[in-house]
Parts: sequence; structure tokens; C-alpha cells
Amino acid sequence: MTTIFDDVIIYTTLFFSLFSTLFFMLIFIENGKAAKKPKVKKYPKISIIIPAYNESKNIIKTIKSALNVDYSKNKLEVIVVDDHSKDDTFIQAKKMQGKSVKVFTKNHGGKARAVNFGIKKSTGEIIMVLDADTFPDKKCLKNIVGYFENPEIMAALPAIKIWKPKNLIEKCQAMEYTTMALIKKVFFIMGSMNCAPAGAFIRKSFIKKYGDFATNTLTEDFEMGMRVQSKNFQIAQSLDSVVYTVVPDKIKKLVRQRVRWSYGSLENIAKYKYMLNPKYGDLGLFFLPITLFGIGFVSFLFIYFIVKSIYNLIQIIHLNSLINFDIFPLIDFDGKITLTNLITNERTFFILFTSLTALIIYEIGRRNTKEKFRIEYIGYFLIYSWIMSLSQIIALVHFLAGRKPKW
Amino acid sequence: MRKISFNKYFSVFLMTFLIFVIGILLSQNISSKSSKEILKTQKEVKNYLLSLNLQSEIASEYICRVDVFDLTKEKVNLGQQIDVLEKNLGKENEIVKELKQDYSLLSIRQWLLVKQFKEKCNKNINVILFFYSNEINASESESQGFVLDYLYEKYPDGLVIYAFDVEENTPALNTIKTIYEVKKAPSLVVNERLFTGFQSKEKIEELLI
Repeated sequence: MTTIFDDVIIYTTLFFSLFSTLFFMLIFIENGKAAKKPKVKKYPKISIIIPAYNESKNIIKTIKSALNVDYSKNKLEVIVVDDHSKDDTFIQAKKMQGKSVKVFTKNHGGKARAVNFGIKKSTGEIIMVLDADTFPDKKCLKNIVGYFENPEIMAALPAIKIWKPKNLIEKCQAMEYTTMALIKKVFFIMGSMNCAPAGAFIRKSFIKKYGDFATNTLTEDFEMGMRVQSKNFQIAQSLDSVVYTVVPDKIKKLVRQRVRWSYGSLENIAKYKYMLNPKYGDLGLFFLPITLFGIGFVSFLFIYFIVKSIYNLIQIIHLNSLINFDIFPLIDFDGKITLTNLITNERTFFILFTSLTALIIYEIGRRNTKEKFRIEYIGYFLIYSWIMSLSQIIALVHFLAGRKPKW
Repeated sequence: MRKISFNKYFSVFLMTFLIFVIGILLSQNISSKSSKEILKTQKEVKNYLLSLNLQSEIASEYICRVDVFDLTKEKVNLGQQIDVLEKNLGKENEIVKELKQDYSLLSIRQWLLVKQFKEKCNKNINVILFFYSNEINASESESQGFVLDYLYEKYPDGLVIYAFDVEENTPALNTIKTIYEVKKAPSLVVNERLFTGFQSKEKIEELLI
């Protein structure tokens, strides 16, 4: 059952995918080299804030990794804020207390409040928010502080890599993060980076002037990013400054995380909806609308093709029930025809072309972040996008219904 | 006022558009290669029709030496090629229409030969005429076609099937429709008996010799 409607949807999707993959690839190729790490003239004092809740297993390792970075020791302080953990996170962290490590505990109030608490205790010019399951690379700080020479830049993001990915789900995410590093770099090149996630560095003067991390949103990092943009400042993305993070290792956990992220994006785009305006440059004219369109269109596609597949499946089952499912005589009957049809179809060409562009994006991202090549990319391509779409739909439904997803 | 990179969007849009045009041209190039195939198919059908005519003339005397199923297999192959052309070029394409008419004439010619073969050589062959429609009751025709495909594959040495578009208006086909009183689709003529409407696999199998 192929209708004109199907064709319109398929060609719109193909055009849209091809346009976006080409866009990110070409912008990076054009500007990527120019946007390499800037020279450092002075090293500002950095406060690494580690909010921790029930992280007794990781906390010492995280503190050690923060102390171990290649940066002048008198320009570095580590502030651990225990969010009233149920385990012995605080006791473990206390063991590391010293000249450059301060450890606090407070009443339980969530991550954003813990970070805000830490910022108040900090003395650095630049704040780095480090999740307790995230570890900075040795060169992480040195490679990123140069961005702050530019007074327009209020925050800078390291490239995020996955800490020792083991199963397929983690490896898929490793590949996704590699691709995302490049895409985020393009956001930065276009002056439209609008999120400040795990491992972000933020100028303390900005927080002092425009307020703490928001405590009423699911994604305070996205809110902070939008806030920086709303004040017409910039967020930089680095590719050679690296932090390692632990990611969900099960599909269910991954879906939950992504539902939270998508919901948070929608929530904050709604909060800053006045920025959907050419006054905010490429962000307002292109990147925000495309994010919204992406969520809406992908959800629609997902539902449409699920319904269609179910219809086709029913049809196939119905036809085969007519022959009592004795399918053996029919096998290979259509093989030749299907193949001929597939080759002479221009859709195949577009799908191949888009996949190729996507692969090139991954490859450039991989080279720029010095990741290993992973053959699992194909699995990622086929299955992973379905998980992402599913999460977006769940988030969209929650958002439209006006209730926050459960954690 | 912040920067807006109109020229970037425009140049990428243009590039995407170009790739789309190239893609469509390329696939048309491939299908024009397959239009050479069409000519080949067209020629094949015509030649085949001609040779079948001759063959039946010759064969009427030596008919029992003809391998009927071999003939049918070649015809089915042609039919599949025409199906592919129909999918690629559309139902309304003149070449497709012409080929389909030729094909149905060929089917009729072959059907006559098979009838002769049955009578003169005393062979047990089941003959099914299948009248389908892609417009009215299309889903029933589709189901019936599926069942017949299955039966054809299941009984490779005992069953020949000729399918006709009920909408088609060639004099030869109209005569057959009149003889068997076929009025609507789907209809089956199983060994000379008319059945109107969808017939189940079990029902048809019961009617086979």
C-alpha cells in the first residue's frame, strides 16, 4: 500500500535529513580548523564543584581525577557537596579533604541546589560542574580556559566521552557522543550553543549577575545555556578538552534519561519562547525552530510508520491465513522482482547518500576527538534512532499533557 | 542585532536540492536503461506470441509432444517482467497497457493450446482462469491472487493459471467473458466452472483433479 501521502512524507524526511547532515558536515569542514583551541594568556582560578548523592563508590575516584588534572595547584580548588546521601558518600569524601579539597554536606534538595551551594563556597573565577560519575582528562582544563579570553564567552564545554563502554548500548552512546561533539561544535561556530551539560565551565561573574542554576526544571544545564544565549553571550564547544562520563547501560535507563532531556528541552524552549525570533540570530531563526520541528516531525513519523507497519503486518497475516500459513511454496517467489525494484528506486540513492554523509560526520567527529573506529555504528544506525524517537514521543506526550516525567 | 547566516542555509539548501535532482536524474537513467529492457520485453512478448501462434499450428498435429508446463513457466517469467514495468512506469503508461494487452492475448492463445492438449492427449491438467480487478473489490482480488500464487507454486506439474484484468476490453477476452458469463471480479473459472467472489484455498483444492 503506497499512497501519494506516503511519498510526500518519505521525500520530506529524506530532504530534511539530507539537508541537516550536509549542513553540519559542510559548516564544520568550512570553519572547523579556524575554531581550534585558542591560545591561553592567563590561567584563571577554577573551582571544580562536585555535587554528589549516593555516590560513595565513585566519589574518591572523581575527587582524585579532579586533583590530578594538569593545572597549577594554587589555581585549582575542588568543592564536594554531599546532598545528604543515604550512603557514606560524605564520610568517603571527607577522607580526601585537604588544602585544595573542601567537603560540605547539606539538607537534601536536588542537584541544582547542591551546585548552587557549592558556587557560594567557591573562590574561583571559573566554575566547573562535575557530576560524581564524570572524570576530567588530564589536559581538560588547560585545553579549555583559552576560550575565556573572549569576554563574549560565558561558558565552555569539553567533549564528553564514555568511560569504558562495555555493552552495545554503551558503545552506541559512545558513537552518538562522538557525532554530537561535532554537531555541538557547529552550534558553537554558528553562535547557537544553548546547553551547558556535564563538565561545563561557566564564568562565575555571569552566575553572580544573572542568578544561580534554576531549581524548578528537569534540566538546569539546558536552562543555563538558554539563559546565556538570552543575554546575547556565547557558549564555546571544545573538542580537545575531554571529560569521561558513565552512561546508562540498560535501554530502560537510557529511555528515562532521554525522556528527561527532551522534556527539559521543551520546557526551556517554552520558557524562553520569545527567543524564537530572528533577533536572536541563527539560534532564533534556525536552531531553535529546527529542534522543535525535529521533535514534532520525528514523533509524527514514528507513530505513522508504526501504525502503517501494523496495518501491513495484519494484511500479511490475513493473506497467509488464507493458505493456512503454508508459506514454503512461496519462498523466493518475489526475490528477483524486489531486487530490481530496489535498484531502480531513487529513494535508495537518497538513503545511501544521507547515510554516507552521516557516516562522514561521525568519522570527522571521531578523528577530532581521537576516538577509536567502531563497527557497531551500523547497529547504532538501525536500532538506536528508534529508541531516541520513542523517548521523544514520551517526552512530547508528557509535555503536552503538562506533567513532568517521573525520574 | 545578532548574526544570521542566510547564505549558509541557502547554499546548503541549494546543494541538497542539486543532489535531489541528480538522484532523480540518475534513477531515471537507470530506468531508461530498463526502458531498453522494456523494448526487449515488448519484442519478446511479440515474438513469443508469434512463435506460439506458429507453434500451435505445428503443434496441433504433434501436440502431445509439447511440454505445456515449460511454456507456462516462460509465460510467467514474462508476466513478472511486465509487473516490474508496471510498478516502475505506472498503470497508465502506454507501453505497459500495450504489453498487458499482448500478454493477455498470449495467455488466451496458450490457454487454447492447453485445452487442445488436454482433449487430444488425454492429460490431467487443471486450468484456472482468474478475472481480477485493481479498481473494484481490489483487496478481494489481491487475496485471491495470493492464494492462486500459492497453489501455482504448490502444484507445479498439475496446474496452469491465466489471469485477466476484468476491465480489459479486447474482443478475444470479451468473448471468453461472455462464454463463461463472467460479470465481476474476482471470478474464477476452475476447469470450466464459474465461481464468483473470493474462493478459499480449500475450495479450489477440492475442485482440482
